[in-house]
Amino acid sequence: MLNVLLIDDDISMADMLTELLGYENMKVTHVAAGQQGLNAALEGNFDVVLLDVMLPELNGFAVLEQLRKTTQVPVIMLTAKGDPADRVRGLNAGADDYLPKPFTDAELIARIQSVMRRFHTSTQPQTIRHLQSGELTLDKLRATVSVADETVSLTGTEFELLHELLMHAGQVLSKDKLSRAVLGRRQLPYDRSLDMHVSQLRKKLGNHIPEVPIVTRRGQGYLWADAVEEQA
Amino acid sequence: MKLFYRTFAWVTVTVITISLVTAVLVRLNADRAIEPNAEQRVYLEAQRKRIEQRLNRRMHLHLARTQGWLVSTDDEMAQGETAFFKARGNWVAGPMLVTVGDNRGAIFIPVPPELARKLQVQQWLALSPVLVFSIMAVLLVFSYLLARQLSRPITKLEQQAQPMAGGDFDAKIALKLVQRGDEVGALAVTLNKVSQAAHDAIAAQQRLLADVSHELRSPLARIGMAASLLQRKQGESREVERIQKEVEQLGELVGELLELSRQSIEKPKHQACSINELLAETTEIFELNERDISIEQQPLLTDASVMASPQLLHKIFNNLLDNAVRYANSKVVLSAERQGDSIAIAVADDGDGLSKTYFSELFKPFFRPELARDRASGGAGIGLAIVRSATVMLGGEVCVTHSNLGGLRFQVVLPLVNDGACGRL
Repeated sequence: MLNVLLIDDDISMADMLTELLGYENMKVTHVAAGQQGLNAALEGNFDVVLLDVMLPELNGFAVLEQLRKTTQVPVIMLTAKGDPADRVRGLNAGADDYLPKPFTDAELIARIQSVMRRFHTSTQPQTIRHLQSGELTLDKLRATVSVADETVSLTGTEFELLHELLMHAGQVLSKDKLSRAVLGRRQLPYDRSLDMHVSQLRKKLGNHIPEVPIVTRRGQGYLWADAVEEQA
Repeated sequence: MKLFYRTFAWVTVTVITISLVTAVLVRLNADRAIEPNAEQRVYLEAQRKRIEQRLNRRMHLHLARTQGWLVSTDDEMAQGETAFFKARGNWVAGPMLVTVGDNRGAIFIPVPPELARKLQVQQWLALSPVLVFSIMAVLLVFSYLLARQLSRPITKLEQQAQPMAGGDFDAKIALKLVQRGDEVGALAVTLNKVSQAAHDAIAAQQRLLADVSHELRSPLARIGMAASLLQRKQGESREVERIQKEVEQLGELVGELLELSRQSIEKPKHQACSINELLAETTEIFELNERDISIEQQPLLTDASVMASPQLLHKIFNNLLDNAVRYANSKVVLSAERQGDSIAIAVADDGDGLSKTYFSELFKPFFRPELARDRASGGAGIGLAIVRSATVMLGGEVCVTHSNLGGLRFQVVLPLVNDGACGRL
């Protein structure tokens, strides 16, 4: 059972999310205002905090700032607009992930699971921490990717995508499988989100590696066509 | 200076010049004698004979004076050829030789008014062609100057107002025209105000559309969650699946509407974008498509760049490819070529195409030909409207023709050299 604190003033959505996450074995505590939310987060023993940016009284960034003074609990920021400035601000202030509103329940669940996976990697040092392919290194704990000690700046989704490809190196992953793992939803016909993320990932890695080993198999899917080593 | 005074001044100058030139020429010509033509010769000869007879009846030359004729016995006077000429403002014909008895004399007779008028015209017509052409040339120059004076600022204004007519209300009349201070300047100021008013009205509407779309997203997300809950509680059912599918489609439509309205409000940042990179990335995104359509790309031999917002550029070609993949039978060709100062990028498919009658409608929001409606794959009908709006924002043009592959061919022409319309912001 995962203890989730939801700080959001949209009560009807919070009610539904409480129920929906319940089916995923998550117990949701809902608080509607910033100050109360901060108090609850500091007092309670939560595994993850979902924090809305637009809150009455104390806004999300202020809550996050206060929260980070005492605890490293994973925080996912929920923002009204997909404003990149907000995203950077949230991540700089110490948020672990960021989800633009409106989101589907599947997307939220996927994000929570991904954040928890990362968090657990950090708390259980004996598990595999690094994935290495050629000069590329993916650090699961810090959620960073580097090529020959040079950091590659990836978005959360791109990181998840690369992680998924590296984990299944040498196997062709169908778009549906990747979409479920990375975006938390099934692949709909004519939805190009995943392909765009792959394109972006290729482009960003391409700035550091001459030949990015992401291969497109027509009619099948994407694959990481290079050997991957797991390291502690 | 006001246009009115300018026109007034130019007309005055023109009229005065014409009058002066004419007066001078007429005066120069006034002394010139006119040779009688055959008919006039007959008339003059008849007159001469009549006078000679009358004088012979009296046998006295000097009597002629009493009849109003001028007679001279001076031989020198009698030397010249008979002609019409002006003497003290009156037309006179002479000299004509008369013999009265043994005396000979030269006679000059006044010309009747009717003939005098004809002679006057004849005299004007007899002006040397060089002079006539000079007058015409001067007149032409002045007319040209006058016409240009009047029409040039208006033509300029018209040219600068053209983008407004095309719906670009960001366009402004240049300061040079606005600051003229005359009627044309006033018209320019008014045009700018009209353009601004139209711009504001459209912006307000777009903002409303953006706000409405944005506000629709949260309740849509809630409906989606409610449907998920229903599914959890009651298990899978066709109705819930239907709700989820509709919510997804509506969400997509609202997202695109939001995008369309945002495009008109926000000014995206421009940067140099490589054409071949654009082609490669677009191909990459669509390579793995559900209908297994092959995407062929024909890049430029030497790469070129356009000044554009990468987001808008990608949106244009993603939408075009999305359509092409939906309607192609097996192949889509993405090609680029130089066209002077522009770059033309075309997306062609080998599908069934569409009747030409629909072409002008294709870029209108929510227009979908019956063919597309029948297909389950048909989108919301807003993709091409976004393509057009984005292309216009980049200072380019988009058009559709039949493709020689069988389907449709969309061509986007973008300026290679950055001009004012899509300047760096």
